[in-house]
Amino acid sequence: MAEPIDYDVKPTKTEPDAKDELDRLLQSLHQHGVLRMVNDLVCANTAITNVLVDGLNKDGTLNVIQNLSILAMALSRVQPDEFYRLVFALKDAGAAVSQWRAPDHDNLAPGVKGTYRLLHDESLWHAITPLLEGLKAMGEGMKRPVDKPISQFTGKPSDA
Amino acid sequence: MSDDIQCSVEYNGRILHGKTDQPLIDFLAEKGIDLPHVCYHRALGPIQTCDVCWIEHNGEMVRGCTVRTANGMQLVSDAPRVKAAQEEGLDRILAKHELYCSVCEHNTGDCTLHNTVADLNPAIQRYKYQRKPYGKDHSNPFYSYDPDQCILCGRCVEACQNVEVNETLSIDFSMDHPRVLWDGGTTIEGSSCVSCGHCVTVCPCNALLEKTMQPDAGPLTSMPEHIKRPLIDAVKTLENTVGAPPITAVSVMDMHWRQPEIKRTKTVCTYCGVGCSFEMWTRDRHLLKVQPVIDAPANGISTCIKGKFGWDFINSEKRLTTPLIRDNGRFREASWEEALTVVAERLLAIKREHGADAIGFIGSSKASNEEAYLTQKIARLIIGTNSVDNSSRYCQNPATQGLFRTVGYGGDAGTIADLEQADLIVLVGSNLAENHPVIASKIKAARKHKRQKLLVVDPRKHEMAERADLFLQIKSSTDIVWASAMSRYLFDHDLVDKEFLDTRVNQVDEYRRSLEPFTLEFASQITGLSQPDLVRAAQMIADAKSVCLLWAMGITQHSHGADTSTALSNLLLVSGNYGRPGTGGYPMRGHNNVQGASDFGCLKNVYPGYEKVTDEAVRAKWAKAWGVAPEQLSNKVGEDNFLMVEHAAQRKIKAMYIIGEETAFSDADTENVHEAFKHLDFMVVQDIFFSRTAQFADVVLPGCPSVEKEGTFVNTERRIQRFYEVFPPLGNSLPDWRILTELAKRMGHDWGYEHPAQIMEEVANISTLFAGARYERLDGWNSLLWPVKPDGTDTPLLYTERFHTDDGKAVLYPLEWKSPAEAPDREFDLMLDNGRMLEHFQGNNQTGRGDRIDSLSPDWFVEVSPELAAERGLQEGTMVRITSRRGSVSAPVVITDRVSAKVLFMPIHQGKPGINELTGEHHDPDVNTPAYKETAVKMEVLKAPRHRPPLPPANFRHGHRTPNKGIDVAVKWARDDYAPIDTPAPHPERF
Repeated sequence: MAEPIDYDVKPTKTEPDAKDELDRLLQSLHQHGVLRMVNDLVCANTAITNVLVDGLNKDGTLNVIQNLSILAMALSRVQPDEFYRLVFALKDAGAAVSQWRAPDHDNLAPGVKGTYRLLHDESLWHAITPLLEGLKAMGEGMKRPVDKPISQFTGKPSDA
Repeated sequence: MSDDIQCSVEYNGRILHGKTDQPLIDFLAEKGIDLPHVCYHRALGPIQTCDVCWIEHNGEMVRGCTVRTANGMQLVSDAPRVKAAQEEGLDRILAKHELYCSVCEHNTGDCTLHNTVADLNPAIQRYKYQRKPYGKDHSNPFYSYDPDQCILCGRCVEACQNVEVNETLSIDFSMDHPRVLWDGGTTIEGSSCVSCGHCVTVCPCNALLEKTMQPDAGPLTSMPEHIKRPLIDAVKTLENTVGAPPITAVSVMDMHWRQPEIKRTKTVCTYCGVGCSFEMWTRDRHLLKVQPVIDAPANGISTCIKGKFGWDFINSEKRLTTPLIRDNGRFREASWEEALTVVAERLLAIKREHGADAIGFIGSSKASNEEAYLTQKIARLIIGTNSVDNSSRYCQNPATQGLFRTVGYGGDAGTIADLEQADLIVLVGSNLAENHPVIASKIKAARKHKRQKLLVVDPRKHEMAERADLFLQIKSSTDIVWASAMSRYLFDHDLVDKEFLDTRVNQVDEYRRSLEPFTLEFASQITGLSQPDLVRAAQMIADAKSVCLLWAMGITQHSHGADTSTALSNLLLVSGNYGRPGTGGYPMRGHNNVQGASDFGCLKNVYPGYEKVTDEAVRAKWAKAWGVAPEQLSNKVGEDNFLMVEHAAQRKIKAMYIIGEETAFSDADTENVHEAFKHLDFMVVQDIFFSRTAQFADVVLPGCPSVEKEGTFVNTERRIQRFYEVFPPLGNSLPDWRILTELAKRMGHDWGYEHPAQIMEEVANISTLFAGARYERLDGWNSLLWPVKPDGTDTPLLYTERFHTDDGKAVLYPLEWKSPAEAPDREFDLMLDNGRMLEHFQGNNQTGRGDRIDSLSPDWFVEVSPELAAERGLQEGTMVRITSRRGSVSAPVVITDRVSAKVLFMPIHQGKPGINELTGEHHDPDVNTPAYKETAVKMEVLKAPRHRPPLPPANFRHGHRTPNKGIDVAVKWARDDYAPIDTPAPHPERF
């Protein structure tokens, strides 16, 4: 006679625990060659560190790091729309500078009293004229109002 | 229009060839071209709300979703004005939906909105995102609705109104701030929402989202709101400068890096017999969501609450994961080796001592075809008995018997597609909307959109009855009279299909003579139906060009269920409704594989494919295939579930092996069943939970649910579908086919199966019915409907040329009216009906895990009609004792007009010991199916405090549907603030 008896089932793990996740991460790192690369890096650490320190400890590298820091400090104080105006004005100025072409004829020198000889130096005016064009373009750009940089950039209005 | 008519279309200067009259978006998709769209969905058609899919058609701007292909069509999608219109449409959407995709749970690869944003890749959104004046609705246990993310596309409304046809959702575009409304404006909880999940499945963004996706569907999504919100705001600020593309690119990367950890696996639902298939999206053992797809052959995008959300049982702490052995009055854990050795040795010893027929097997109607095959193979080949059965004994065998008698095959005559195209659906003894919800949806949709007629005959006024053109609230157990009176009426009024009867049916005259007693007067007297109603019903059947007749447990679980099933099939023959599209008999199978368990041989009298054990040629064939002499296989019909239990009580059966069946709860007259089990010398239970049946076992073996193994199921259509492993077996559990293979090995039969495909191949090589069934033909969403010819040709519609009888003709089977085995009397003055509820399943071994489903209807109850409640002074929640001639149970009262007069109804799911404390051993003598639904009872009011409302006020049965035709986009276009697509919109957040 088999009387009915109950049994309290012990719960079985259904969620991955930290070890499972770690195992999976290790497997993924292995499959994608990351572990191999890290292994290589670790094994070659003295040599690689030496190269990095050598590269870091140069005036040029140190200047880059310090200058980027100064730029970041300055950028943190600038509103994006102002910065947009400045950067794109500079871009326009650069474009104007690069697009200026010397005319075919040689009578560009405008002439200014007191600098008579310089004013008649054609080659000097060939050099200065594009810079003036650039300043004019930059001046125009700085005058343009900017609602939203991305709208200004793409021409698509946005209320977002 | 036919699919094979081809056309040429010019698209952006390219000539494309393809099908005519195909939706343009689908046409282009087949060519690998994506016309950006958001609201269009293949299963829903054009809704025209998103205004993204603009295209130039013959020079005119139109929404691409409205275009169907035609020869010579000229289409342009890359013209500036088209591009501008598409982007304007998207911009208007983004005024309603905040993009934070990288921290959104829905960015898992199938977010239509995210993918469209990525495709169009706008530099910046045109309109400011505006919140709506509504909070997020978390009230449903399974999904949430966030109005602030809702784009008002209307997909959910279309799915609810026109696919599921539960008719709960709507959008009123005339509101100041439109939103999706449940029952016109209540919370989800408390509305008529049945949690079928259609709306969530089709939502193109995260407005409607499964709670299982929240909050950690992605690696960054679970961060707390106090971090997420500032992060989103910071990114939005940056977006003003850097533009959207870099941020969109991050979200696309996020979508991609979620993919390695997300697995999508096709599976087939493990609940009812509709055979819904869908993808399960998982991460490790976490089920993120169930995602139906349009390619699923039975259901398309449809599911019910159980298929979409009823999977909490998979990771239940109560899952059995270790074999158990009864030892000194307790169960102890054992190794597989020890447990299987004990089972093998004890079964072989009992066979040696008492003979093969002292052992009985009950296969599982939830397990796979391959597992059913192995169960009967162990019984027949190793043990040498035909005493093997499955739960179809408790439900479907009477229907099968009725079909065997009349048309030959024990399965549905056609497919769900036939049900959709029938002129008339006759639904008898089936609460279809709760028991086979997805098929009910197909019929509701056909009725809503194609003017299909619906005739319902049932003692209980369920949803389909409420929707019927004619509802006949028949007296219980009298359907045979109704059906036979219909046949007689058709004969008497010259409304039969004479040509069909002359050419395709035998025994017409004999049958007609048997109808003599079934006059309308007699039918009215027995059934309680009025004669005019009977005439109306007959006329509906006669007038319909095609009729499908569906029936279920309301017919079969009676003392003459086989006869009534026969009468229904007779009626179809008389009216010529077999062998044509949109016709036939459709017994609705109740478990996912109750059809397959029978098809693959878990029946006492047939091998797989319904080949008779008593046929010597059949026996020789199977013996040869299994490599034994014919005499080694029994040619004696075995014992079924019902007799096994009875003979266990009589000590004729000494051992039982029960797989995945809760016999101790679901067999009739529970007390007797328990007593019988106590008398067994040895009992094995193989299950996923420690069931009530397992309490009687000597050895308990932990099997796997379908999501932890591979195999095939056969649904109610006879459709064989393959399912794949979603999760590895939990703990130390094993797929049932592997358990059976290991057990056979320990009994001296090393079959060496390493994959279920090998088992299917073996069956196909032996059984004619499945000759062409091969796994490679069942790959992915492919399916086969038996009979399957060796070349793989299957049979969606039976009997188109011949019936499955010796001469190919159907048989009209004469019947006579027999009174039910149990009827009310002066003491037991009420009849107790019983059945399933939509949200639960059987003994709740699966749906009872976790509290989400239980929260919808946590209590057992008895439904009482308003008139009976008034007569007995009952109120909602009054505690009553229901007593039958076997036993008593107590439950609170629900007063409802679903039942009438002196008929009560109780769900079968809850209670200890449950409904079968009341049911009896009276049964259908033709098939030994217990007459569960013939139970006379009495009701006493208990002096106990009133129970809380047994059906909580928030239960969907209390909701008030809001039927409509779906989205009326013209109302949106008529808004004052709606602007043409080439004009900026003043308030796009409002439409």
